[in-house]
Amino acid sequence: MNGTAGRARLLRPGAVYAWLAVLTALELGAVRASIGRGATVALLLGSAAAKAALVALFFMHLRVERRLLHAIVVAPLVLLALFLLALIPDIGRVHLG
Amino acid sequence: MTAPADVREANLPATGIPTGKLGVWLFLVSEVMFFGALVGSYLLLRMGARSWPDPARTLDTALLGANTFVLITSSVTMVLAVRAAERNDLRGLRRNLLLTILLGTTFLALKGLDYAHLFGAGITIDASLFGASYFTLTGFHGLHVLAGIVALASLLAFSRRPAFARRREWIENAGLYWHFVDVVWILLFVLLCLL
Repeated sequence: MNGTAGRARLLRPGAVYAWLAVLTALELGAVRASIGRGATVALLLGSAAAKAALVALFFMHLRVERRLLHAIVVAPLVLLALFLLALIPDIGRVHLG
Repeated sequence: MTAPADVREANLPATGIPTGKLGVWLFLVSEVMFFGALVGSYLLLRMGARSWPDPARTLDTALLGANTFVLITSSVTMVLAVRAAERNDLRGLRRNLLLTILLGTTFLALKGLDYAHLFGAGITIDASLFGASYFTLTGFHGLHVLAGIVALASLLAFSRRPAFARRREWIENAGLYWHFVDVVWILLFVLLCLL
């Protein structure tokens, strides 16, 4: 981390925890509510992405880390996205029991 | 007088990132690709399957939701352990490390209950594509949690030795790994247990 100055830009752990808890409760509620499959999928994936970002930015301190570290983290995520995109043509063709 | 944090900053390598921390991050990005390959395989299997059980009816989502709360709580105690280490507060460090270990162990115990529930319903790793995907992904994640518990327990024991004073950054590095394991579960919980 970039010294104590960067620390001030991090949310208190309790505040991050509250957000994580609220989003988890929202996910559990969304599964039980009848809001439609599309809305449920969008809500769950959005919530999971937000929770993962909260942990990475504030608990793993990425928010105040150096750009080199950001590049190290983003590179495999881009590769992973390309990898998942490359699977799309196979999804329509593979039929399993 | 120069503060300890300033001394640490002045001793950084050319990258500006402590070597140990850089190594942990490089390890974690390799883990992103490992779990990415598993998740990619899961998505391919699930979308290619003619039928897939509804996770909300097959799994005990209340138990798994409680387990998610346990793991995110352990991330908070890990943050508090790292902060205690930075303040040279050894008592606070040990207390929060112990809490993190206990919460991690609770997570694995609840996972055991989840597995027992599935075995009771006839769902095993070789019974169906669902079982194969679920046990492979959660099994590898569980092994990572176990490795984290072993690492944190080792650090807790090491914190009693005088040499620990020169190795405080190990706590932050172990914390990075622990939070990564939390992030993986956050994603697996939604992909496997709710969708």
